[in-house]
Amino acid sequence: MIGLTQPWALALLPLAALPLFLRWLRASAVPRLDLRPVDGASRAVDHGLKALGILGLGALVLGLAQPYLRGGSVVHRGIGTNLVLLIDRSSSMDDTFAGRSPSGAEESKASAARRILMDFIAGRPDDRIGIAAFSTAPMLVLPMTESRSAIASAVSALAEPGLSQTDVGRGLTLAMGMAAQEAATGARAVVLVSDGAAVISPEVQVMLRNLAAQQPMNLYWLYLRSKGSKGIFEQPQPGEADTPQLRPERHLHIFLQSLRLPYHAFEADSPGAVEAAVAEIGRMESRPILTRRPVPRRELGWLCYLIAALAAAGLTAARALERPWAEARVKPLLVLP
Amino acid sequence: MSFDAPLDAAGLHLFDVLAWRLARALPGLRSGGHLGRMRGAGEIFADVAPLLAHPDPRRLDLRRSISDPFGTLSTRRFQARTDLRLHLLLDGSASLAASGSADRWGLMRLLAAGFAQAARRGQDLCAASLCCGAGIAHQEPPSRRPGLAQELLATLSGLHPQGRGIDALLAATAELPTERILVVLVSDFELTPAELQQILTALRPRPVLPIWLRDRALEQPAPRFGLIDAQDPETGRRRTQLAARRWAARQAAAATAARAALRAVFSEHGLRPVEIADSIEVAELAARLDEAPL
Repeated sequence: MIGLTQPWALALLPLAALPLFLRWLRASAVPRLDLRPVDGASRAVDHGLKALGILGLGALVLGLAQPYLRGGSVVHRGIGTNLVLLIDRSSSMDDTFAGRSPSGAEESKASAARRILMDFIAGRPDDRIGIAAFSTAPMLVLPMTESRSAIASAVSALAEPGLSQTDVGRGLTLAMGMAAQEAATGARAVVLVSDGAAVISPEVQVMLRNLAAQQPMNLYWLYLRSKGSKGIFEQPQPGEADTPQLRPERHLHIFLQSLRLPYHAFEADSPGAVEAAVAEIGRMESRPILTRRPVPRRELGWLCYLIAALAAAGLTAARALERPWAEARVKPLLVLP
Repeated sequence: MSFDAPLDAAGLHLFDVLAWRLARALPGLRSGGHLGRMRGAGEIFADVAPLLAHPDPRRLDLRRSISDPFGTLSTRRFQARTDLRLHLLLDGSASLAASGSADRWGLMRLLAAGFAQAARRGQDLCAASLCCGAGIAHQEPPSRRPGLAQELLATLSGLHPQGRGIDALLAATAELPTERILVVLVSDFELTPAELQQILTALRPRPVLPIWLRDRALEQPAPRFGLIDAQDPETGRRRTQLAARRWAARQAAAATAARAALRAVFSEHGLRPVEIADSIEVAELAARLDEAPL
C-alpha cells in the first residue's frame, strides 16, 4: 500500500501534460511535412521524447509528494517453534561450573548460558521467542516476539547479578502460561535453564498440571550442574534420604515427567555440554511454523527522483543530438557570370 | 561573381534582358512588342490584299499588280505588333519561409521586380497578385508606369509569406482575362500533383510561364546523425525525425519522386517550368525564357 507524506504536491501533476503541448527540440521549418516520408524509428523517437517529458515531470511531482510503502508484517513459513526461555536468575548462576566465583578467563554459568543461547537464537531466524526469568519471583522479560534485536537485547539484559532464591515453580507457571497463551500456530516449547531447583508447593503443582492439560507443549530442562552437586538422573543410595527438600532437582525432574508432556532433561556440567544440549534441543524443535516478519516502511521518493533524472538525461541527450533539417547557408539571390 | 544585395533599384537593370515571345499572334490594337493578329505597319510580311480592301498605296505590290491579268491593284500587308499583360501570379504561402540554401522569398521578390522591369522595357503591361494561402495579400493593377518594379520591390519587402493552400491562387486566376495575357506563375510548388493540376486547369487557356523556386538543401538534407524537430510552416504541425544516412537518402529520393510527379503534370499541360535552384542566374534565366513553350 502506497502512502504520500506530502499529498498536496499532486496538485502539480497536470504539469506532466506539458510535453503534449510544448516541444522539447527547436523547430526547423520544412515545407509540406505531410508529403515527406516518415520512418518507424522517427515516429518512435517522436513519441519517446513526449513520453520522457511526461515521465520526467510526473516522477518529479510524485517525488515531491514523497511516496512510501507502508510497513507491516508478512506471514512467513519457516522452520522453528514458539519457544519460551525460562532462565534461572538465582545468584548461584553467577558462579562457574566449578561452583566458585569466576576469575580470569573463567565463565560463569549465566554468561555461558547467555552466550550459547545468543548463538542458538541467531541460528534460528524463524522462532518466535519469549523470555522469562525467575529467582525470588518470576519475571516476564520479553513477551513472545519475532524481533531478533529485542530477543538479543533481552538475553543480554540477563547479565545483571542474580538474587538468592530459586522459585522455579512459579517461573514454570509463568513460562507455560506464556506458551499456552500464544495464539500463533506451530509447536510450543518451554526451555528451562537453571542450575538448581526448589520445592514446588502443592497449589503451584496443580496449576502446572492444569496448564499442561490445557495446552500441549514440549518441555526441556537444561540443568547446569555444578561440580559436587547431585545429578538429576542419579538414584539415591540405599538408606539415603530422598525428599524434595534434600534432592529438589531430582524431584523436579520426576514432577516434570509426571506432567505427561513431551519432556527432555539435559545435564550439562561444562559450556561444551551446554552447547551440545542446546544443539539437541534445536534439532528436536525444528518444525514448520508460520510466523509474521515485520516489513519496515520504505521510502519511494528516491525511485521517483531516479526516474526523473533518467528522463532528464534522455531529454538532455536529445538536445545534444539536435540538428536543423538543413544548415542555414543561404546562397546569394543573384549570381552574375 | 555573386551579387548578394540586389534588392535595390540599382540591381533591377540586370533583368532588362528578359524577353518572352508567345507562339500565337495576339489580338489587340495597342502597339507593343508581340506579334498581333491585326494587319498594319510592321516588319513581318503577312499577305497581299486588294488596294480597295486595304487602301495603303504606300505598300503597293508592284510586281503582283502588274502581273495580275485583271489589273487588280494589290498592297502588301504586314503583321501589326501589339502588347500584352504580363501578370505575375506569386504564390506567397508560408512554405516559402522555409529556408536552407535559398532565400526563396527574396528570390520571389527579386523576380517579381525583375519581370516588372523587363515588362516595362518590352512595352508590356505588368500586373501582380501575391497570393498567401486563402487570401490575396497584395494586388498590383496592370500598369506601364515607370518605377513599378521599384514599387513592387518595396511593397513585397513589407510583406511576409503566410497562409496555406491554393485558394487565393485559384481566386486570382478566376479574375484574369483570357486574351493578351502571359501569366508568370512564381511558386515553390510545394504542392501535390492534384493541387498543381487544379491550378493549371484553372489557368487554361492562358499562356503560363511557371517559375519554380527550389531549395536544394531542403530537398537533400545532410546525412549527419541527429534529431530534427521539423515544423510545417503552413500547418504548424511538428514531427521529430531521426536523421541518419539512410533517412537522408530516403528523403532525397522522395523529393526527387515528388518533383518528377509535378513535372509530369506540367508536361500534361504542355508546360516546362523554369527551375531556379538557390540563386538566379539572369543569363540562364533569359535563355530558359527564350526556350519556354508559351
